[in-house]
Amino acid sequence: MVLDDERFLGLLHREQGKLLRLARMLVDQEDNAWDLVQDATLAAYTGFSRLRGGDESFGPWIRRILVNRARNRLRAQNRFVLLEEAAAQQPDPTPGPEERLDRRLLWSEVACLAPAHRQVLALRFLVDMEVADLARLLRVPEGTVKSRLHRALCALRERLLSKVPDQAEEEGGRVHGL
Amino acid sequence: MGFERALRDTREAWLAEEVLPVERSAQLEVLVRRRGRQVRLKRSALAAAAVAAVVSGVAFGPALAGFAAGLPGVGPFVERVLRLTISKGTPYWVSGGPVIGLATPGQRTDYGSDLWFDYHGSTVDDGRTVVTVGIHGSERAVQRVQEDFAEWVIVDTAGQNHQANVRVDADRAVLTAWALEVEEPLRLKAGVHSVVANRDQILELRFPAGVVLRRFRDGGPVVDMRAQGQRSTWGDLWFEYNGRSLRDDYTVFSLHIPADARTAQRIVQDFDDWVVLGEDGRVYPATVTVDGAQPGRMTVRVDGDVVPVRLRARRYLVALVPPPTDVGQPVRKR
Repeated sequence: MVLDDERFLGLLHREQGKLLRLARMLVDQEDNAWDLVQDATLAAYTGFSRLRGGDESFGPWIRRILVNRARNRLRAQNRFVLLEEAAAQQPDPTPGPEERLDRRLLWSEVACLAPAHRQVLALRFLVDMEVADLARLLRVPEGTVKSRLHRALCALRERLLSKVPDQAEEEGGRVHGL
Repeated sequence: MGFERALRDTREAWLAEEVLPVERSAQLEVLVRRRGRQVRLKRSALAAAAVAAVVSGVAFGPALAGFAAGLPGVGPFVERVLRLTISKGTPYWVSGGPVIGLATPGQRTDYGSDLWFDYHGSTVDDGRTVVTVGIHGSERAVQRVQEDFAEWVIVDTAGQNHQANVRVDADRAVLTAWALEVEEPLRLKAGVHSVVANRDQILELRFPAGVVLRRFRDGGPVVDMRAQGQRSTWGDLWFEYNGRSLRDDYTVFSLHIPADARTAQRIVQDFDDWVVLGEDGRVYPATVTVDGAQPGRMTVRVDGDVVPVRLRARRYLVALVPPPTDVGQPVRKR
């Protein structure tokens, strides 16, 4: 047991910053994010014996636990934000400013989006949740999830577009292509 | 889909940029180690329950039956996996209770549609942080708080949990929670009390080496405390009552015991559930302390002004699950 504790703490040390960053994407306030990290840590510790696939699978595993804890918590509070759906499908948001912007900024910009956009992008692209799972989580049809993802990507694109000139100016016109 | 690929390609690097401050990292470690201790203690308690079940005729391995029988000198062979049947109706605790905000007095916290709390305020009294919260909602609101919730903790602004005692004043519909040294209380949280429903549940317990198993047995010490200097014996142990002293809101009793380390160890390890029977006929839960710096002395503390009649405790059998190489060997009895 003590040896397991040390192994768990070692693996946790590598993941804890990532967990906090993921938690911030899913809930609104820093306190709530930190609370979520603690909840997920304790849940992971309790279920550590069920971890399969060795140390390298610890990261995805504990992140999924954090998402589940967030889901339970936010469902209880009805806080997975429902967006008004897109009236009509818009063009695919590619190619776009992401090709001209420093890609390292992508997730920082996602973090600045509205909660509903931020959550859906985090769930889909940070923890690879399938559309069907997202639909179950958000209690909406899969088509609605797809349109919500689309709107979130559009919002991100607009945000990036507004940043491109500034960044280009700051960096003397040099930009990092994707 | 350039966006999607870019998001996936960059996520790990972005996540890895976050480095927790040292104090937060330390908090997580403390949290894990504390939970580890709790898990080990709960397993010990469950093991005690399981062994009691063996006594009552539930069939486990013959090895555990040997332990249950408590055969002196013949240690049991402890299996590393134990299946425990928890009967329908058995109570248990789960997380997911109310999380009451304590940021500003007057703050309201809803729990479902028919129960809500309003934070009155907090004070510091004799090193204890005392939090008061009003209970509102349906007619059953107070009863629900009393019966459905347990394992209350006060969470401070640093995110640390402090175990809290809670009292509910049903007449005033006010909950009072207190804990030691909470400088900036932020939230008051509880778990939900529930019971095993529908059918019996089978629980598999794995016992790693080093886990302490305790099995309750009757027949702990009974110490007469009606007169100073009175001596009671229990086996080769003796306890001599040396008077009481009344503090602000609690009473401390002093006793003499044999001044050897083995006695101190036995008192701490082999006995639990200490209670004092008062002259008023009430039973008061007691906290017993044996100070290694003062051999031969034992103090007993109870809440309130209590004139004692006697002190008693339950006796436990304690054993260690052996390391893997010792599986099949007798468990060392303490």
